[in-house]
Amino acid sequence: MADCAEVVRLLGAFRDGELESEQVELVARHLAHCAQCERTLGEICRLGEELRAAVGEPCLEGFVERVMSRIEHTYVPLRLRLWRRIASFDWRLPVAVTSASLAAALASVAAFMVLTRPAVDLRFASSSTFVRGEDIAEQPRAFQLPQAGEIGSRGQVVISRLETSLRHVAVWSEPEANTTVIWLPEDAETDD
Amino acid sequence: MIEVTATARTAAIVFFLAIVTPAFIAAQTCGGPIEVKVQCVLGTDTNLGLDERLRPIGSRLQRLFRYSTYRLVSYHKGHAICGQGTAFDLPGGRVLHVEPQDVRDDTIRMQVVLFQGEKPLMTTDVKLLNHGLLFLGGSRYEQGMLIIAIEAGLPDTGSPGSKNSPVLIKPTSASPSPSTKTE
Repeated sequence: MADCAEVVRLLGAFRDGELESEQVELVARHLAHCAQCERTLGEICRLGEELRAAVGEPCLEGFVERVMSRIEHTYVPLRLRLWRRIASFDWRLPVAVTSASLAAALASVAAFMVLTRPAVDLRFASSSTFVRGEDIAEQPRAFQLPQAGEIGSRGQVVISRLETSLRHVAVWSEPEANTTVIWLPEDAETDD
Repeated sequence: MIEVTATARTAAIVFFLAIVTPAFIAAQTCGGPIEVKVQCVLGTDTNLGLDERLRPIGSRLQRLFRYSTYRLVSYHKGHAICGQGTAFDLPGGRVLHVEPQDVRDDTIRMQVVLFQGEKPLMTTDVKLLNHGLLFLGGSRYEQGMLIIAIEAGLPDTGSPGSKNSPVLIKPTSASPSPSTKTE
């Protein structure tokens, strides 16, 4: 059985219901046989009641409103206000719309660039050498045009597409005269 | 009543600009009518020299080809706007269709189609300097070779009569208002 000194130390917590179940049992068994400890417990209870009576409970009515009012009237730096506004803004719709618009713009620009892509500068011959159609190797109906480094820099005609039903065609340019010739030999066989 | 929020309005404006701006830029590349001149030249080896009327392009002809005689067979002039071509009836049953597509940086992009009757002989997309020359050749005509000189340019203002101004105006059926002089 526990002695009184040990139990007295636990009486405050016993009264407040803060003991473990084993300690509660120990204190309760001791109190059942010890009148002095029981009196001590009564004094502790009485002391607590007197203390509660002596200290009035603060009035909490309107407390939340007053706190919120003070918060609202507290100066908040502009940067912090902006950040809060940005953080609270719902970006989903604007981002979606802007992304769609950018995609549409990019598609339009891409289509525009494809449709108006730089043409290929033809310089099969840069002199006045006569090139006969028969001299040109057989080509497909849509002629593959060679790439050139400088596009139209010297004022020649720039050809981006050349299709003919003839099997042979000759193209040459004369840079000094700023002219280009497309030669379609009439006696060349046609595909059809 | 439909409530239009500022975000939706801004998004609509952005979307509108994204769609309209490229089209507007593209539309700006097409200006007024393009003047198209077509000269049909017959090149032969008859040692008669250069036709006086071909003097403006004579040096180019002689540099590019090796005929001893160049004679102007027909001269045509017409106007075309971007996206709407003009056609020229050429000697030998050929038809030349020229359709400007845009004008930019003093260059004219256009599509040229040469027909033999109703059959397309050649289709090409070319870019010419303003008043640049493109020669098409290879077709036999009479006793020589037909050379078609195509010049496209923005109409000259204040220059009364260019060097190749035609005298006779004879509109062709397929073109808006080309003029033709046939020798």
